[in-house]
Amino acid sequence: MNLGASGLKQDLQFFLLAALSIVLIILESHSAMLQSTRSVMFVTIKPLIEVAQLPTKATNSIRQILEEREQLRERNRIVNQENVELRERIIQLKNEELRSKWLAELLDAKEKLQYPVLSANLKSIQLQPLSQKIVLNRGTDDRVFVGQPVIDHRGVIGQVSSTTLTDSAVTLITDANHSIPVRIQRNGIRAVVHGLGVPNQLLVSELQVNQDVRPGDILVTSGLGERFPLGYPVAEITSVVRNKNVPFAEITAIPLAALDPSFEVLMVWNNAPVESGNTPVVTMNDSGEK
Amino acid sequence: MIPERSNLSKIADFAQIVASFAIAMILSVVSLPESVAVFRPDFVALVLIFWCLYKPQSVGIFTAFAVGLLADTILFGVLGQNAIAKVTVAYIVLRMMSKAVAATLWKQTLVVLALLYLNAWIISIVNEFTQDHGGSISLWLAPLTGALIWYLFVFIWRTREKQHGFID
Repeated sequence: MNLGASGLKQDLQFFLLAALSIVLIILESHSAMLQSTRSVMFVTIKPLIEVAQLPTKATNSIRQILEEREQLRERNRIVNQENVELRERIIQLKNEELRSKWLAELLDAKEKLQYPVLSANLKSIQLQPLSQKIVLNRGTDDRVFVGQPVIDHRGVIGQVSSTTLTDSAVTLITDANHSIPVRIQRNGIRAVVHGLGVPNQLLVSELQVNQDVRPGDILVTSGLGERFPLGYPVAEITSVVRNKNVPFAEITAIPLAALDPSFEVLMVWNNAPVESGNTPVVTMNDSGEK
Repeated sequence: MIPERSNLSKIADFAQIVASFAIAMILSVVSLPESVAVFRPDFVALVLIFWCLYKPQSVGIFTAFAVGLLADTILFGVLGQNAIAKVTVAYIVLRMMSKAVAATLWKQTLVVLALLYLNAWIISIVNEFTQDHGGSISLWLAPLTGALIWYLFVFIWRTREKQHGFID
């Protein structure tokens, strides 16, 4: 091999290219002349740069995906939480809406009554065969008395049968031992409504076979016995069965009032001796808790 | 048949060399955490020294110049700084260190370490001259990593060569 010549050739190449490099460096540091050269060369090595960026891009996108997933999970949790809260709120609001509608109607009824009334809330329901009672959160402290009628805006609920200082038990009109004198609103015919001891069923007696009565008739209080306010709705007749062999018709009815009230009911002072200045005030909203 | 075979092997050699330089450049620009990046050796210099030692008939000073310019482009350095460093390294290897091929691995690695320091030093000199900032800590750390990689790589290379005989 021609080592000597090859060595000389290498010396020459080295000095030539080193000098060229120095020229490039000087040109580069003093002018922008080489910018185009650089951009041409950059195009040739662009693929290499792209390959070199792959790991970074991959880790970035993986990180991004993980972060997004984490964020979604967090948001989902928050939204679920909000959803639960909003549902509760909606239920509360619906209840409030029903209650305010109920109270408005109750107020209307009270206006028409022109008797002192007191609002009361249901404390418990005691429905047994024959004995149909509810307990209200008013007692003798509120001047509640035995025999006092309890109504809502749709009709008669029953009457107070016993009291304590703070509570009173109300015998519903469906109680087997309860009777109430009524009149058919349409024609004024008198009758008596008896409880049967089962919810939502009433028996109407004292109506003879030939008397004018038909399903859909409204029965109102007759005022006899001076227990209940006069002309207040009690029940609606559901069926009339006439048997020629029996002098009285078999008539059933359903109560008009809600006998398991969700909201306030009214206790009425219609015929009770009320001392002036000590009249129970209409209180719709106080002690409205369940 | 024989000339064709030699042609084929030349093409294979060429492809091998181009691929090795491409990989070296990719490794030079792959983004690494700052703490790891200071240990990143000059892969292009390593590959260049390797080919100058083992394939001096294929890789010479011109290759060094071309590869240096590409490295300057890809690293956004001053155009010519890697070129002069690589040309110098290639020249020294070809002209004075060609016997290192046969040297023990330890000696060869020490030579390579010195060459890598020379390479880094030239680059930092140019930086100081053009941009008023010298070498970082990487200037001292990176050649050490480079020498370590050299040692491991050539160790494996030589073991393989022994197993296959000295067939290229």
